[in-house]
Amino acid sequence: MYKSRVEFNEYDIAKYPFTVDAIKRLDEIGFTLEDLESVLGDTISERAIERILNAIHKKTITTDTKYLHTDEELIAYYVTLMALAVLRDPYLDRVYAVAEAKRAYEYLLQEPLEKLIYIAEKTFSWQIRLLTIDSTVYPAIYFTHFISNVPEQRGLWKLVNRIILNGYTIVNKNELCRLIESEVKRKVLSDIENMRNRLDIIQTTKTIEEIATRIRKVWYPLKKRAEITITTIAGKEHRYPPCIRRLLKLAREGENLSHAARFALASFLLSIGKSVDDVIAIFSTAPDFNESIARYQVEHIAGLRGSRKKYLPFKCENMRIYGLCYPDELCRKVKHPLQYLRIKVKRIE
Amino acid sequence: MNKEEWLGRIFRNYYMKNAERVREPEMLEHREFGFVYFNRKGMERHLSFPDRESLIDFIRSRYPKHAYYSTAYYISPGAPTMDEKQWIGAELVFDIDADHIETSCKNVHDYWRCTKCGREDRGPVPNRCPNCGSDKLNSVTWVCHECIDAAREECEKVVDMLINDLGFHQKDLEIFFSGHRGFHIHLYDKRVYDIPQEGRREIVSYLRGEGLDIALLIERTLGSSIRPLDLDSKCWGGRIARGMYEIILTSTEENLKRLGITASVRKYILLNRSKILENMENANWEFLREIIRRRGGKKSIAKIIEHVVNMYAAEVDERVTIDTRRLIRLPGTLHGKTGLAVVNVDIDGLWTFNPFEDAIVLSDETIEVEIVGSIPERVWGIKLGKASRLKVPLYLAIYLVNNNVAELCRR
Ligand code: SF4
Ligand SMILES: [Zn+2]
Ligand SMILES: [Zn+2]
Repeated sequence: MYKSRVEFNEYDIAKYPFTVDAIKRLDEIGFTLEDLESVLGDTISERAIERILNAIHKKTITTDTKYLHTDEELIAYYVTLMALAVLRDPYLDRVYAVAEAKRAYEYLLQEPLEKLIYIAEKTFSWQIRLLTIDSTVYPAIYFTHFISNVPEQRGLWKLVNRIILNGYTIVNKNELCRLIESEVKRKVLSDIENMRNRLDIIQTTKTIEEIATRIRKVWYPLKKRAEITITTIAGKEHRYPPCIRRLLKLAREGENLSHAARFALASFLLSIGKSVDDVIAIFSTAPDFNESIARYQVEHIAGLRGSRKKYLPFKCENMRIYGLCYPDELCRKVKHPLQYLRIKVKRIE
Repeated sequence: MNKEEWLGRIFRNYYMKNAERVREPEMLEHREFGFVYFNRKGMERHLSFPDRESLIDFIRSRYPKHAYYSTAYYISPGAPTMDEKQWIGAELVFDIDADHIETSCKNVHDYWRCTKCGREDRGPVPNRCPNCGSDKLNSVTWVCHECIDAAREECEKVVDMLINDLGFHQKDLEIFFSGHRGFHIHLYDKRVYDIPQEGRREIVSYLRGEGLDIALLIERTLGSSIRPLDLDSKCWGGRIARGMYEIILTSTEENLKRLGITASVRKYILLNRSKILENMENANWEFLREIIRRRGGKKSIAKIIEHVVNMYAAEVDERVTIDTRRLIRLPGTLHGKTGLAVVNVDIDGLWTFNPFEDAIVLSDETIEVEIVGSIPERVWGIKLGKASRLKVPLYLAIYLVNNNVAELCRR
């Protein structure tokens, strides 16, 4: 729609290195991995390391303006993906993808609507229409893009609460940025995956290996801590209802859970006797984890704070409303996730 | 000859001559298939076929009792684990089954008995025994025209929302009779193939009107030029608006009371009915403020909405839609319990489709059965009477025998 009118310059390419425009530019530059072993390589690999460390420590990627108009930034991005591909750590992939998406989101907020639409259409193949209502123009996106990218299934993020015209739902600029953010995350993940699948064909280089080694040193101790606590809690997981198993899996994969999801998971685990520390540990793998906030929330749910009321886990009906219910056969017989557990345990005995 | 052998022979004969009727899915070579056989427990899964011929050959030689294919397509559909299969995408499927819809006919034709405490009753089979809580129940259930009509209604709602709300095209939709108590709707639009589980969950929520936030709708309607509530709109806002309009149009003191509307709100609605209706027609929703200001106003609106949602919500089995690795019945095959065929139903002919004619593909030669259980007066439109031995068409005998209420008479 805007494809022809939007100017996408080298600043944009540095800001949005995952776009098709960026890939085209990369081709033009003709940078090879051998170039990485030259003098130029040093700045680029330093920046690649910085990007990953930023993701780990700051949950986003900060950009020194000195990079913002250079092809180096673009190249550094692809070197980063390459290093992640070599590291083969899906959990780190996610941490990185989330950070990269967040960075994009912050830039997107500053852009004119036209540019957002340009990126969504051209890089992500979204179907977008402009609808005029009372002489104001609103962008509307096909609903499949909407439901595949909403941050949570609640309120205005639920399709039932939206205006839909022939499958297109009207979105405001802020919403559009959030939806693109989530699409960016998926794109980064799939780019890393693709890169990884090609590792057998392309030779990695000494520099890439060095980057990977340096990241490992920082990352492994952090990751270990989270992993240990997660495995201790995992023991009898096959007895949990599918909704809770799904949330555990997402948490383990380092996915950011919505508030409702966190509440559901925490209240369930607490009510089957897990400790506050165990529950916090589970959330600690989330890219946006903040220990003191998490502790506050979990203790609140456990009834150790605030109203001193211990919260019961959601019943199935509420789980459904929040889009957290993923039922299996046994679920026909239950109205509450805890009931599921009880039946399962009885059956196993 | 035991029952399973007898049925197996009938199915084999059918497939010998009619295997051509099997309709293979698009991208057949990327689908997983699963079959249940006569005289054997469990399902054989993880099968795949390179082309139509080999699928048809297989069905001919194994004459399965039930045949299924994956709504998903995979890189290696025959691989034993999901990881190795490598998921590419999945069509969107909706399962509508009278089992999950309240119908009054179940009180006439369904029956259950608790194996633990012996409690028994007519009517819909509960999930657990209301007496002892056991979930081990034996049941005999039947499908009748009323069941099918109930399923049809839900089917119609789903199709309406898919086309009018969500913008899909009728040509990309297909309805199949499930061979038992309902319908499957398949959506082949490629835009849906890579929707993740969460998104599918959200589509089901949409069809069922779950999570509708009325405060949000009202707030947005009153505060902006794009109004979710609008009589003409083709999404839930429109349904709510039209439902409200209807309720107010037909409101009586009693009706409103039954809905749980407070006295103060009832009075307001009844006194101002024509003004409110006129306002609604002009997309003026200011009267909502008036209602909210009254005693119990918010609650009353919520009650109305709840009622409207139930009116329009489509009852689909969410598990089938959400699960992107699910197997679903293969069109053109026979249902092992009923002997009815999984046949295509023309969307425009949904209401004229008669499963007890159009899905009967097995022989109608008369055979004699001995009645050993309690049977409804009529099954599939055929009057059965009270005799202990009955002469019935073969296709019906299969259903009776499978339901354990009849046995074959030795010839
Ligand atoms: S039905 Fe209940 S227990 Fe089962 S998945 Fe849904 S919320 Fe969980
Ligand atoms: Zn009982
Ligand atoms: Zn019935």
